[in-house]
Amino acid sequence: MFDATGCRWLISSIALGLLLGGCNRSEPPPAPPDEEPAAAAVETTAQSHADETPPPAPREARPDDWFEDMTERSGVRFAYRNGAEARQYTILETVGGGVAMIDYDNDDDLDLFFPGGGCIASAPLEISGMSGKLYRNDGDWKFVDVTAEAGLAEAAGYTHGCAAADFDRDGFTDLFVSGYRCSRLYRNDGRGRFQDVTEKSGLSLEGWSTAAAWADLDRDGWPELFVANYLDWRPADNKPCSEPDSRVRDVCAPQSYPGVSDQLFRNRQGAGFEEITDAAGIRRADKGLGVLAADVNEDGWIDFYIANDVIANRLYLGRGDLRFEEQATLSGTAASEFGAPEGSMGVDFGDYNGDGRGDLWVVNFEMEDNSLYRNDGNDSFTHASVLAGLGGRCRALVGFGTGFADFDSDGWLDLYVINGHVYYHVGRSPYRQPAFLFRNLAGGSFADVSDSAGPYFSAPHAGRGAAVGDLDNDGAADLVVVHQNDPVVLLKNRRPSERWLRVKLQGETCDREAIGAKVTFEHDGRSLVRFVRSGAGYLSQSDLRILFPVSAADALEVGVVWPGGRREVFRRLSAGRTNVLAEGTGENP
Amino acid sequence: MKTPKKAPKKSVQPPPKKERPWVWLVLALLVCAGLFYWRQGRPRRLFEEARAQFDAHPEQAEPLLEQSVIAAGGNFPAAQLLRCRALGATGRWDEALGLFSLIEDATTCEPRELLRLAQEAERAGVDALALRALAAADRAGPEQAAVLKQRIRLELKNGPQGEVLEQCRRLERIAPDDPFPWQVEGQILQGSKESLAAIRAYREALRRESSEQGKLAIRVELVGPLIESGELAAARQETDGLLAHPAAAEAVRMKDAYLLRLEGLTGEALAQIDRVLAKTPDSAGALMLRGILYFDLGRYAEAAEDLKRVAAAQPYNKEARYKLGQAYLKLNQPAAAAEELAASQSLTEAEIEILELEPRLRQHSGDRELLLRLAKLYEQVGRTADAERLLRSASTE
Repeated sequence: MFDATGCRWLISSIALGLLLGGCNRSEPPPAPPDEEPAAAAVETTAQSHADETPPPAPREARPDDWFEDMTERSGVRFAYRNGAEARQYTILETVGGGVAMIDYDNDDDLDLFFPGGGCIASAPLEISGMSGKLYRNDGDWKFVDVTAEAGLAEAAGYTHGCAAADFDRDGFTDLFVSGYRCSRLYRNDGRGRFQDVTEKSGLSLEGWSTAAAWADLDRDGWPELFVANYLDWRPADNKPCSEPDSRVRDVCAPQSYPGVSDQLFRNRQGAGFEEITDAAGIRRADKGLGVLAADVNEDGWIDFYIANDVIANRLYLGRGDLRFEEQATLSGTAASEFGAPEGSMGVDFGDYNGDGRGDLWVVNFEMEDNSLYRNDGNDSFTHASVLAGLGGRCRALVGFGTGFADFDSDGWLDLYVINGHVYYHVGRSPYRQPAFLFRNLAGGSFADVSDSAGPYFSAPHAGRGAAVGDLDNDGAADLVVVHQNDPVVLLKNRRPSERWLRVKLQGETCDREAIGAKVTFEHDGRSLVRFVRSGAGYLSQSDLRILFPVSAADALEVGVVWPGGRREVFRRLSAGRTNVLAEGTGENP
Repeated sequence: MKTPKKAPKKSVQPPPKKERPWVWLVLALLVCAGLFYWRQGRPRRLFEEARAQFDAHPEQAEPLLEQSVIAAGGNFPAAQLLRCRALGATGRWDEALGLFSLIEDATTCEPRELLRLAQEAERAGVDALALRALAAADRAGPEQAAVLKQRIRLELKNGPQGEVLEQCRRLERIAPDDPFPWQVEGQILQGSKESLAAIRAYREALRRESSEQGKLAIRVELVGPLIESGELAAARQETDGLLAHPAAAEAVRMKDAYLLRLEGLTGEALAQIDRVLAKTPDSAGALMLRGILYFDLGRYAEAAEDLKRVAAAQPYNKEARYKLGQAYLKLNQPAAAAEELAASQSLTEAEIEILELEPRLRQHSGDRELLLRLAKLYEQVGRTADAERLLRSASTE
């Protein structure tokens, strides 16, 4: 009846059904694993109405693969739920979820938090939330579910993304979780528990929030919170949309709903937050899905880059005094190479060409090139996707999770792109799509090395958020990828440098994470420049520690430009471990 | 003695005529027959007479046809149609167009005749009349494939693309071996950035095309969506094959240059586009590409020069104006940049609004406000024919 691939797909669908246990808690429990698979079990899993044919199986692993799938060994059993099984074709279910790599217990390894997503009930259409999951990293690729003991078991609502920062400066990483009219701020109490302090902190988040970023905008040491909001959509507004020719029903395009303003909240030095959206000059009816906070033009003030869906992206350049100037069009970062606004999702900032300036990277909807904006200085960028060999690559796909990371430890920032469609039936490309890995060829261009990236990259997925970080502290950036209704995947990077140096910045006059800092390391006669940024990727929080490959001739010292412009050099660092660099403890350059 | 009563004198007047109703009946019948002849027979006779003269002397046939229609009380579709052709043959196409609209039901005309009128009208550039004749002729029968083909060709120039696509799909069913509808479908899909579907359509067209010349033309078109959809290896293979062909034209070299750019071979792309411009120095497409290549190479002044020429020739080319604005920014000419970027943005916004309004118009075709707004937007982006079409519709609403 089924070929091998079909069987695998069916079995994994059933297994996932068991894992998820049904979106509606009143549903009967799924069939035990030894029973004949029931059609209903398959029906409740994944987006079965999206793909009637099973996805192709991944290829076999090879010794020279860049990444190895560690999911099974890790004990992480989680799948983000988007409620697609209700077949209501809401635009809500297209956004998906992300992941946070945070060291919540300060034991110098990265733990994982996943927002849970939610359920959609029909007649009348109602939205409810699924609990997220917090996994403690116990080392050696072993993760333990500590959601309940961390106080995160209760579903806050239909959630999407997360952004982490020590907003109360108590030395422990706190968590902001975005969602559909349910965004929450969780304070880490330092004893392994998170408290919901949303109301107490005065955060007023009534809209549909997606991405978020933290950064100290007023140089008082307390991080402000930028929240991107997506659309003005409510269950009662759910329109039936269909493809004009075929009349096949699918999710409505984002053009069907009005945009909403992003929000900016000032941290009142631990005494709650106040909204300063208007005063900061960022109120616009936008459709935000990605946010990046970094000092893009290195003028000492934090800037924000916002990836909007189907409308122009925004570059808010910080002008001090908590005010911003929108400069995307004049800087050349608003749109495609030819000025067309794109459906933008994930975003990142890194020096890909080794000129010392941070470049912007945005992934886009199908039939649009992903956009690499080369920073030419003086607030001027050049759309360099074609020049960097990225023109036409991934063009048929819909990009979400993405980021710069030096995956092969050669000192040059590579790129990964996680793809997956939002339309179940009417997209020009399939719902499940392959992920891509691009190797940086010494700053000039990128080569597609997805074929040798590992089995994960050989099969299509309904990909969404992803985060990069060294989960096993071996000196190589690993990947965690979140999918729509399919299990998350943990990928171990198998290309660490023999010697490496890691630094973790600790701000004193600036925020603890030192968002906006620039770190320079001299390696093999050239300067490797890395930026501490918040909100990068898609709905996710990546490792904020910075990793450099080290060769025998390299001096173990780094230069830091702290947010605000203070410069320090940190010498006599140790290779092979994390060096915590506290602001004010370095030397003058 | 009584005198006998005189017998009344017999009247000498003739006896009253006997009523002869049959005479009146005959007379009435004769009158009716005369009238019938006048109304039916004469128009037909005049029509036949005109038809006999039509090929050699259309100018003489025309008044006969006019009389024929008058004799028929103004409704004689076949004669009216032939008169349209006669008027056309004498260069009076405006009258022909007006006359065609007086035909009560053009679908009663012979499809073959309607097709002839459409062909003649198209040759004369009177697309509106051709399209109306074709619409009337579009029904099952031996002419339908030809009717649809011409309709597609004309609507491609004049009508909404969605409707043309619909005609293509009908023709694909009626004439399954014909590459034409597939090729047009490919062009339409490519125009609406449906590159993957365009590739499929072109491949279907290739499968059906038998002539080498035709195949070559389709392959040239296929390269575009291959590039657009990121299938660069397939595009390269196709382009290399086309370049090796002795008939490789400038269109192929253009695509090769575009592809070379995507492959990171900017210098080679520039050399190729220079070859194209040597033969067609005013080609806006080639100038645009060279402007982009100069921009890639950081030769912003040269980029601006080429892009300026494109923008002058095609003021509605939002891509050229955006790129020109970017070049001005690099040249530190912010005022000029702002102007170009604003123009590009305004064109982009208009096109986005068009995309939003077109489906609404399909649902509410009689909405005058919508028609006028869309016409204004079409005007703004340089689609003057579409704007005029909508304005005409609005005036009848």
